Amino acid sequence: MSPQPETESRQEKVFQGAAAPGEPSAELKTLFERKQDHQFLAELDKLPEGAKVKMCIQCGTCGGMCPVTPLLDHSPRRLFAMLRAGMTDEVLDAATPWVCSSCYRCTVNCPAGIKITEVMYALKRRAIQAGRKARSSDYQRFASIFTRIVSRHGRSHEMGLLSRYMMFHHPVAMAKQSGLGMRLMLKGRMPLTQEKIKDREGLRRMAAKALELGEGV
Amino acid sequence: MTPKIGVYVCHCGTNIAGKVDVKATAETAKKLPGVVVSRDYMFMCSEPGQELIQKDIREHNLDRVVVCACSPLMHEKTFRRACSRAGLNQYLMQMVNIREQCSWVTEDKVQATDKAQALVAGGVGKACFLRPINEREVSVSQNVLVVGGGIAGIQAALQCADAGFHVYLVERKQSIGGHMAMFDKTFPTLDCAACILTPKMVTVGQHPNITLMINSEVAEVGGYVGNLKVKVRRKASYVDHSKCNGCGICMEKCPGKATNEFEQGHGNRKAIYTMFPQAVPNKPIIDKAACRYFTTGKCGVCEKFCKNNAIDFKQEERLEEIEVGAVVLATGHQVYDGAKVTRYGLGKLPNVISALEFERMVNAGGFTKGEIKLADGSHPKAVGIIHCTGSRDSNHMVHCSSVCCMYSMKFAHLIREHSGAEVYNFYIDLRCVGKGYEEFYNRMLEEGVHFIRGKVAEVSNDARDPSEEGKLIARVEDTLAGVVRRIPLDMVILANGISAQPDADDVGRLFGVSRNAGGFFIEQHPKLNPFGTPNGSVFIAGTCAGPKDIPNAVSQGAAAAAGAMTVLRQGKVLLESTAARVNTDLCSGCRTCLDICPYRAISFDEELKQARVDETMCRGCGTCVAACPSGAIEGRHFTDEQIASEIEGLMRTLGA
Amino acid sequence: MKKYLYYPGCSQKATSRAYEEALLAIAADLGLELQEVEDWNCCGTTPVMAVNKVLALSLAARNLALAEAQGQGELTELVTPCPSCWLALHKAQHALADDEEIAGKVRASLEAGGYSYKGTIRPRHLLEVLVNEVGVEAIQQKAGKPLQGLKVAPYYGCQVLRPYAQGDDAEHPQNLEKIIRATGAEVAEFPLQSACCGGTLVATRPEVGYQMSADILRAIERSGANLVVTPCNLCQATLEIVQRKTPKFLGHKTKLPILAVTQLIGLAMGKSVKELGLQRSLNAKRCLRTMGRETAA
Repeated sequence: MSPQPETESRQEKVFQGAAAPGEPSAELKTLFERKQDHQFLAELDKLPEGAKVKMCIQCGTCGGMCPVTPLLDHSPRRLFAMLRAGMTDEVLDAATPWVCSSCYRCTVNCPAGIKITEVMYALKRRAIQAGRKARSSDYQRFASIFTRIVSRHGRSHEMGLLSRYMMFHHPVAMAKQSGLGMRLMLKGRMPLTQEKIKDREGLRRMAAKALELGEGV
Repeated sequence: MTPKIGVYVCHCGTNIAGKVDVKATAETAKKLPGVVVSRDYMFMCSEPGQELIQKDIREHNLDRVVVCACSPLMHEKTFRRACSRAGLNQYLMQMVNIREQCSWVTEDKVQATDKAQALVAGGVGKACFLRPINEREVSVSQNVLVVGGGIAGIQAALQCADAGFHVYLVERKQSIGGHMAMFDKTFPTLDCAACILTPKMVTVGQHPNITLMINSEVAEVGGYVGNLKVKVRRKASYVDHSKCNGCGICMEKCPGKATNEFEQGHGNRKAIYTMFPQAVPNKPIIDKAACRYFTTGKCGVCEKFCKNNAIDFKQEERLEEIEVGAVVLATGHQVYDGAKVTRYGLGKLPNVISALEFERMVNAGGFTKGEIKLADGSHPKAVGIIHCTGSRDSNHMVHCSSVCCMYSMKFAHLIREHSGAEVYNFYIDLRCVGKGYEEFYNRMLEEGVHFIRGKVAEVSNDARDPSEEGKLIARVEDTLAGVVRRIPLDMVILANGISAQPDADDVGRLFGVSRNAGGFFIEQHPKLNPFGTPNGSVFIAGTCAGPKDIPNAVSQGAAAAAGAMTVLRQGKVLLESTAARVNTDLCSGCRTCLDICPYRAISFDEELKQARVDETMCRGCGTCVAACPSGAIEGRHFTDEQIASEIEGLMRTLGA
Repeated sequence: MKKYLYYPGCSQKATSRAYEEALLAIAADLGLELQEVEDWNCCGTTPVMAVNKVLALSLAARNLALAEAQGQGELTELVTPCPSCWLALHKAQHALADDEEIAGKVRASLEAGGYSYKGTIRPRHLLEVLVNEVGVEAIQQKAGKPLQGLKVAPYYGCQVLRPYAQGDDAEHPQNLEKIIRATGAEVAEFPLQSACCGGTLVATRPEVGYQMSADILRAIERSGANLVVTPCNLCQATLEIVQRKTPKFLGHKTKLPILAVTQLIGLAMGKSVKELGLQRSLNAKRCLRTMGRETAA
């Protein structure tokens, strides 16, 4: 007689390291290899920015370097360990890539030569493509509003960007920030009108093609 | 006359036969021009396999043999000897590599078989044009040259000298002893480094069979295998060591000062100096740049006080020529400069120090007399040790230093013992693979040393909390706990890695030894001959051959000595028979070949205005053959005719 | 005169107007002729890369294509004062040269818009051009009113150094220091000179973004600096904005003038407040007092 599989509740737990400050520590999970997804890491490996993830020596230089640790749910090192463990869902739901400030310190100092910042970009794109609502979806929204503005008009427009982003997502904060906005406006540093390039037609055709070709990259 | 060729296809168990259809390969070979007999066999290198060849040579009057098996590096000698035993000149045997270059690297069985058949046809093609070559012997000088007087060189010199061979030991600095002389204790036994090293140094200094040449470097290497003519540059020391009795009065009286390199720049030494009190020889040299006599023209205090008239300001650098039969290279390493890992602040933040600085600091004879002190004279309460500084890092050196785990733990122990400070060891992996090493790690855990698994991201003085004011803060991801930690420290020690000597390239070129990506000398075989080099009379020992700890350096020193003595004891060496030959009808005297020869075997005949190959030095590498614009140089055993025929055989089979 | 194609980037027309105004005020004196690329568009910067890689690279590449057409093979060097723009343009240039697969997609997108790019443009950041092309000596020569007595903190931010240091040292940069000394001022050393200001998080995660800038301001203040200079427009704006909130993050208010590198050079050259856009600072009065320009305002 073959042994009965243990119940999910006892088995589906993994040690996630210490929890974020102020949170109780995570429970100890056990992962079944058959349920893990190793495909994603293989796909990442084919991208120029992801090819070196397999070289990670788990030293933690990245986590120690990172200027936004208070926002990370996992250090890049742990994300790489999770990728190796086939924890694709957890990785795509992680806040870490979304709060990365693109300072490139980890990239420059990684002993294994992993372009960590670029990997974070790749993870963000994957999360969007996979329809994930990232835990840090604010940035996701911000990025998509920004992208829409610049691919329509050709120029970014802080006033338009911030008002659209904040009005719909953080109306209270918007009220708080209005004083600052006024000051910048008075200093001539925040134009009210959207700057537009001349050849918007060409730009939009280019953007449409790029959006199409950019799927899965 | 058509040659009579025997072809032998080896199965090598399943190594070859698993991919290559050996039966079919042997069968098709029968159709190749000149092939009289073609067989396949399970293990050609076995006794019965070799016997098979010898029997065929006798019965079929074979005058060429083609063995299709592994790399010639493995068994060329085996099959050459087999042919010799059957009376066939050994250079009429051709090996075809259908293992490393075929079965091991080809996925598809059909493709592997096709490739093997093409390679065999190429080999048979070449064999048709093989010519018999006779070997020549020369006698061997009975002296050994050891370059470098660190622990590996000392060991090699003593082994050879004790066995009765004469040794020239060339050391660049004032004293032998190398890095080990700077160490305080050795891991894991915590023996005092000086206590175990100095007796060996003294023995070297007094050994009747050792000529110690300090303050000297190898300038030129000439001659040939077994009879190397080496020119040693004896730099001017301005002290006649044949008269000096080492009384030390000159050093006491000298007013000139220079930075003390041995103490890692802490404090000064005199302009006339020995590196440290137990230096061997215990006779000083003058540092010209710091000497007042040389810089101002006035002084000469040392000369006045020397009772033996040993000071000689007129001494000049000279070249001394010696003849040796074998060489042991033990030129050591350079400790990687921790300041290059800029984010750790060495040279910028006070109390960030290098490993060698700590060795000297904790040594009773060092610049603090063994007291562990901060720059302001106070004692640290918390010390961090950063493993792998510059090691295991593609931005610096990819290789593991192989010693910093252990010496960092040794430091941890010494700090705990001397000061009671808290010690934090930041590591990526702990590699404690030697005898008693893991036990030492256990002991450190017991002694309460903190181990944090994570590479320190940066050391800064950016205090973010009152507890961090005035401290060095190490920011690190504790990869086991999964948190980023800020550890306030008073002192940070960088466990620097081991890098190749900056001039290892020059030394390698002098002796015809190549270097790996990290700059270390490459051995003849990484497993089976880790102390020899492709240059049969040059051996390597110690850290010049790669990072290693003291016991490994000593073992390799002894092994290199054994290798050198083996050459000497044979009394004779076989010269490479595949030496290149210059066709004097074609040589235009352009000199292209002179500089590119890695063995300096080509000289220029000024009278004939032509290049000449010294066959005693040529290793038959073929570089000059390829480079000669007139096609005037022929590689024996690799003639144009032979290679063209080999290519033709290959191509015909491939249907190209 | 050295001629360059010039890519300002969006923020030089908005929050960082003063950076550009000062640049245009000093350019001629330093022997720089800047020819603005016509009809340039946003480089894509960080947010677009998070959405679509091909779009991000195409946005940057469109500017390279326009610059190439405008330069007609005679002008190939494209200078930009914005580190983020520089990085986006540089990345696109690299991707087009080194990554065949992505280059094909970017070229196809360009083509769809009616643009083509042969690959001859070399994007360069202004700071590196100032040091390596204009030269420290030339700046020193033109500094008719050297800033003696001022202690200036060199703050680099990220993208001018990382991931490409452009010949400087990513962890121990020196380019800004060279310029500060050329203006006659003293360099204030502090530990966070290339730390991230958190600017990209100010909109989405203000608490964290502000704290990052506040930490930098504290370190600068401790160094005894009178003012801060930076080659990054985003850093400049972020530090200025966060400075208004330092009481919340540091317990006290920091009062540092925060200038763009072009403004500092312009000051040493004796340019007017208006020319350098100093009146646009959020703490303009303090700025001017520090610089001894009260009356000029």
